[in-house]
Amino acid sequence: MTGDEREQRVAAAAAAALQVPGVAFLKPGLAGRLRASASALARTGKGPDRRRADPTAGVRVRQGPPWTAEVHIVLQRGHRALDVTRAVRSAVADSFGETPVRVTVTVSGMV
Amino acid sequence: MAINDGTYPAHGADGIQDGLLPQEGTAPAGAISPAEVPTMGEEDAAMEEIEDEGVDERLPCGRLLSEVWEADDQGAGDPHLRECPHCSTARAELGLLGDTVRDVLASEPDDGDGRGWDTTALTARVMDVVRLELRPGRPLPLGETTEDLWIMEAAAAKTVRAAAESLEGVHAGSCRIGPPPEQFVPARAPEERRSPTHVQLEVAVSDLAPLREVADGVREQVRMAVDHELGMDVAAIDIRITDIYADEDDDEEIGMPGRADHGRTGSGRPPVGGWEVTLDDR
Repeated sequence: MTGDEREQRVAAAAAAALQVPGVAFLKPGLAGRLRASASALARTGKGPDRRRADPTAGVRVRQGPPWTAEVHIVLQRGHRALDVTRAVRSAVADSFGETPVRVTVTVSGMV
Repeated sequence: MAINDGTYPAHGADGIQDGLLPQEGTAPAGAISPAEVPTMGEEDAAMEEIEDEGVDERLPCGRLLSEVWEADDQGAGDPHLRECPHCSTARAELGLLGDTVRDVLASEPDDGDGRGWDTTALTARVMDVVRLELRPGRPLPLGETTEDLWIMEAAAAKTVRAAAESLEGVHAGSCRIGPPPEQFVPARAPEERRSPTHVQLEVAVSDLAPLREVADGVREQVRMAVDHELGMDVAAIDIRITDIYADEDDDEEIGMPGRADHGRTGSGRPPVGGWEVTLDDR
């Protein structure tokens, strides 16, 4: 089904983007991030576990052909915005396999 | 990458568009417009909810929510903010959000070894994220003209301000980043929507500072940060000194990189007098 395929591609794209070094998270939903940050810090002394919040927030995929994907990321300090967005673009394109896709990446914030 | 330090006349104080959101229909040809950023179709209506979280809100009295928050942050004395019930409520909600964040962070038990962590700093960082979500500005291009990579103005401005404040005696103020003034770039076809950007930064400086050197120093810090940390192509960097404050500590090396320990603008040192000095690249 078309909807299922699109959802699968969203999930794959989001997972791929999150693996890129320098991506803190995909455009955050604030309430979820607050809880995740507080409990993660209290438990481990480290930052939030990326997997706990909605993993697909910040990724939009338009059914193709032609397929397009829009990704909003929050950047980690110490990483160059251009390099990270290029890597995210590659990772998301790779997640589509053989299917051509036009990827747009936007840095919406930094932490 | 090379910065084109073209000459152009000093701008008046009203030369900067103070719009919080890009103004459609007024951008010069070739300027970056969010309307030109690819948008999704009807079938993504369900996804709109996520994207709309970042849109600024206009209160019934006509004020923008982000303006109210910013004025509250800076302690501005606009009487409307105190008298208007909508603005008062918005300010109260901001305080409540900050308190809630602090409570959430503080209520989590530590991991038993007695090490606490800095809730104040964490709260500030979280509130930073909230503000960035609310008022992102326009998307700015990263990299080459053929790449579809962007950074929101508010995020880039954060980097610019931090670079300026890495210098002793410098407090960063308003930063706007956008397309260069129309008359200083050749006319571009509408389909060339990416163009090198123009950074405009206001700073307050110590009265011990040699103005020209500090402006040049700030410009250089900004140029390096935009290149090293962002990878954004910049056509010109405008530094405007909008305030000069009395600095009692004359042991510091003003204008040199170092620990910026004065904190944010409004540290308690009153300006001795302000006038707008625009030191452009010439």
